Amino acid sequence: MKTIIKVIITTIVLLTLPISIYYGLRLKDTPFTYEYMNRSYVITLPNKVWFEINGSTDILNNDEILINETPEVVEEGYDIGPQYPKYTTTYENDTIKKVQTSKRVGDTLTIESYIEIAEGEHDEYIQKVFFSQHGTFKDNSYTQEGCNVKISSKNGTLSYDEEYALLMITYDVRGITKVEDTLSFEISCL
Amino acid sequence: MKERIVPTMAILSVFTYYLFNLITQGLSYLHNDLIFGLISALSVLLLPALISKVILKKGYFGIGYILSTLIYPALYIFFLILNRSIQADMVALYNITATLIIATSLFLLSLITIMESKDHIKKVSLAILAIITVILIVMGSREIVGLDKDSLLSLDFLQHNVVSTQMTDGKICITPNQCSSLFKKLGYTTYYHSIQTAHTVGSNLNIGIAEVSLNIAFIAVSSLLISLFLNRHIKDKTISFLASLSAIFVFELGAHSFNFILPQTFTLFLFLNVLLEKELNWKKVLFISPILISTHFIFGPLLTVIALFFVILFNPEGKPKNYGLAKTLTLLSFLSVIITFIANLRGFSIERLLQMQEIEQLGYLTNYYFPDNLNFLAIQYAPLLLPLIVATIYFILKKKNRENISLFAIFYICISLSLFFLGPTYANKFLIGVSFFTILLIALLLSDLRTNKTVAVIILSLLLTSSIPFYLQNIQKYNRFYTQNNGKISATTNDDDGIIMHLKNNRYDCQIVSDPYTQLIVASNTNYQTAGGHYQNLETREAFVNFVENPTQRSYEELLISPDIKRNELCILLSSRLYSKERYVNQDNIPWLNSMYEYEINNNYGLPEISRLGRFLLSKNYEITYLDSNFRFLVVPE
Repeated sequence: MKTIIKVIITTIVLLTLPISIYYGLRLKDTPFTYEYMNRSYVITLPNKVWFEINGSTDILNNDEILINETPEVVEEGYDIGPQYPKYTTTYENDTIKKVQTSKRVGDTLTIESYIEIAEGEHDEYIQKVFFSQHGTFKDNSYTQEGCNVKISSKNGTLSYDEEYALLMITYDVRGITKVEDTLSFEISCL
Repeated sequence: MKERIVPTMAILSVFTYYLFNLITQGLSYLHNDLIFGLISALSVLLLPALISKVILKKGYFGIGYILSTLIYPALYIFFLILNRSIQADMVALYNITATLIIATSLFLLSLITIMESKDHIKKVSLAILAIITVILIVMGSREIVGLDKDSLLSLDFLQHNVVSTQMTDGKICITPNQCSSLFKKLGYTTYYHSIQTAHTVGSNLNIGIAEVSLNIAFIAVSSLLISLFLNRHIKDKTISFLASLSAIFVFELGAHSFNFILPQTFTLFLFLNVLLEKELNWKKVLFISPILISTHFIFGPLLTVIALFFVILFNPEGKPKNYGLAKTLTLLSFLSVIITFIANLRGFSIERLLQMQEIEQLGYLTNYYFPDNLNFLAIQYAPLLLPLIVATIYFILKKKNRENISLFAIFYICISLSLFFLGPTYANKFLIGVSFFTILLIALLLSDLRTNKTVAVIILSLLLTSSIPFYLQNIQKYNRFYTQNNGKISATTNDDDGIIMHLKNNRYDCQIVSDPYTQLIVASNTNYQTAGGHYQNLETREAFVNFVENPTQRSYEELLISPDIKRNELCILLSSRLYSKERYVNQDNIPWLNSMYEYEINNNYGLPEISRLGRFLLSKNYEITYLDSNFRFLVVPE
C-alpha cells in the first residue's frame, strides 16, 4: 500500500513540474486579457484600457447588416502557458456570410476574416474597433496610458475617428463578393 | 564559539548598518531605505518572540508570543495618556519607541547569544539564516514580476495607515471607525493597527517602504513559525523549511494567508502560535481568545473555535485518545464539503440568498460560481492539489494514525472549503491558512510513508518549483490593478508627494474633499479627515464632479449636503484624477463614478484652466495655497 502511494505521489510530482513550467511561460507575455463575449473580441490591456472588435456592428452600404444576428461561436484549444484559446465566429444571413478566426501568439492577436457578400450593388464594407478611452492614433498605432496597439490590415484601409475613439477598417467591395483579410494587433506596454 | 558567529554577525551588521547610514547619509535616507525598513519590521514582529523567551521564560512562539504583542496596544494607551495629560507629541514618542524596539530586540538577542547553550544558539542561527533566505527569495520573486523596492500593493495597508495617523494624532481609536470614516463595517479593534503604527509611524518610513518591508518581514517570520510547527511533527528541519517555503509560495487571492500582513492574516499568525503552544489546553485557548477576537471579529472567533476542537479532539500532544471522535468529525467535515459543493453547483450561495443588499451596494457578486470556483482553486493551489487529494484519502482510509494532526489538517481544510462553497460575500477569504494545512498534510504523508529523506527533499523541492510559476502569475494578475500608465506597479505615485508634504507641513482646520483615490492617499499619509476616503459615497463623487464642472451656488450646496461632507469648513483638492474622466469615450460608464470600488490611480494628466471654478471659489473666500501640475489645493483662510 505504502509503495503504491509513494509511486503515485512521485509520478504526480514529476508530471506536475513540466506542466507548471509550461504554465509559467506566459509570464514573458504582456499581461493583456483576450476573450470573446457579447458578440465581441474584447482585449483588456494591463492599464485597464480595453478595446473590442464587435462583429455585429459591421457596415455594408451604410447599413449595420449583422446587428440582429447572433453568431455561432466555437472555442478551441487550451488556455495555458503560451497557448491561448482560438475562437471561430460565424455570422450568416441572406446578404452575408462572415467567418472570423482569432488567435493570440505572444503579444500579437490576429483575426482572420472571410466575408462572402450576396451579389448586388455594394460600395464598401466596414469593420469597427471600439476603444474605451480616447488615445493618440498615429502611424496605425493607438497609444494611451503607457500601452501601444499597432494595428495592421492585409487588405483594408484604416481610419480613426478621434471623437468616438473608433477605428474603422474599410474594404472596397465594388464588383466583388468575397473579402479576405487578416487584422493584426501587436500590443506593447511600458 | 563558532556556534555564536551567526547571531553575533547579525547583531553587529544591523548595528553597524544603522549607525553608518545615520552618520553618513542622515535620518531621511533611512526613512526611504528598504533594508532599514526590514530591520524595523523584523524588530517589531520578533520583539514579542524575544520577550516571550527572555522575560516570560516561554518558547519564542506560542502563547508567550501572543501575550507579548500586548506591548503594542499598551504603548498606544500609555502614549495617549501622556498626550492627554501633558500634551506629549505622540509621533515623537513613537519615533523614540521605534529606535527602542530595534535596540531592545538587539539587546535581547545579544543576551540569548551570550547566555544560552550551544545547542540553543545553533537553532537561533538556523532561524536567522532561514529568515534571510526567505527575504532574499521573496525579493527575487518581486524583481521577476517587475516590482520596485517601494511598490505598495495593498489598498488595505493604506486604509489601516489612516488609523495609524489618527492614533498618533492623539485620537482615541479602540476600533478603526471610531477615528476614521474609511471603515464602513466594524471588523476588528485597533489591536493590529497598534503594531503597524509602531513600524510605519514609529520608524517614519516612506509608506511604500513601510508596506513592502512589513510584508516581507511577515512572510519571513511566518515561514519560521510554519517551519517550527512542521518540525514538531515531522522531526526534520530541512524538510520542514522546504515545506514552509511551499506554503508561503501559494498566492491565496482574497485570503492572502502569508502574502500580506492584515488583521485577518495576523489572526491566522496568532492562531498558528496557539497551535504551537506546548501542553495546550482549552483553558489556555480561552485565556488567549480575547486577543484573537479583537484582532478580527470573524476569523478570531472562528479560529478560536477551531483551536478548541484542536485541543479537545485532535490531541496536540499525540496521545491516542478521542481518535474515534476526531475521525468521525473529520469525516463529517469531509461530507460537508460534498454537500456545500453540490448546493453551490445547484446555484446556492449565502450572498445570493441573504446578502443581496450588500451585493446591490457593491454592484457585483463577490464569489466565483461553478465551474469558475473550481478553476480558481485549481489555479491557486495547482501543484499541491493532487498530492492533497492523495494524502486526504490515505489518512482517512488509514486505520490508526500516529497523531491526530493529519486528521486536524483535513478537518481545517474541509471547514474552509465548506465555507468557500457556501459563498458568503468574499468567500475566498475563508481559504485562509489552507496552503499551510495542505503542505502540512503532504509533509505528514511523506513522513508517514517513511520516505527516504533525500527523496522527500526532492519531492518537496519539485513541489516548490512547480508552485512558483503559479505564484508569480497569480501575483501578476493581482498587480494589474496597481499598474500605472508609466509602467510602475504600485498603489502610490510620485505625483502625490508634493501635496502630501504640503499637508504635513501645514495645519488646516478643515475636511478635505477630492476624488476618492486622492482622499485615500491624503488620509493614509496625513491626519486630515476626508470625505469618506476611497469609500466615498457615489452621490458625493457625482456631486463633487458636478460642482467642479458646473460651479454654481446650487451645485455647491448639493456638494455640501452630500453624505460624506461632515463639516462646513471644506478644503477643496482638485486633482488631475478628477479630470481623467474626459479620457473615457462613454461618459456614462466611468468606473470610479459608477462603483464604490473603482479608482483612478494615475495622477499625471495635468489640470485644465479652472477660471470659472476659480472665480466661484474666490467668491466663497477660497484661496489657492498649493499648486503643481496635477493639484490645486484651495482653502478658506481662518
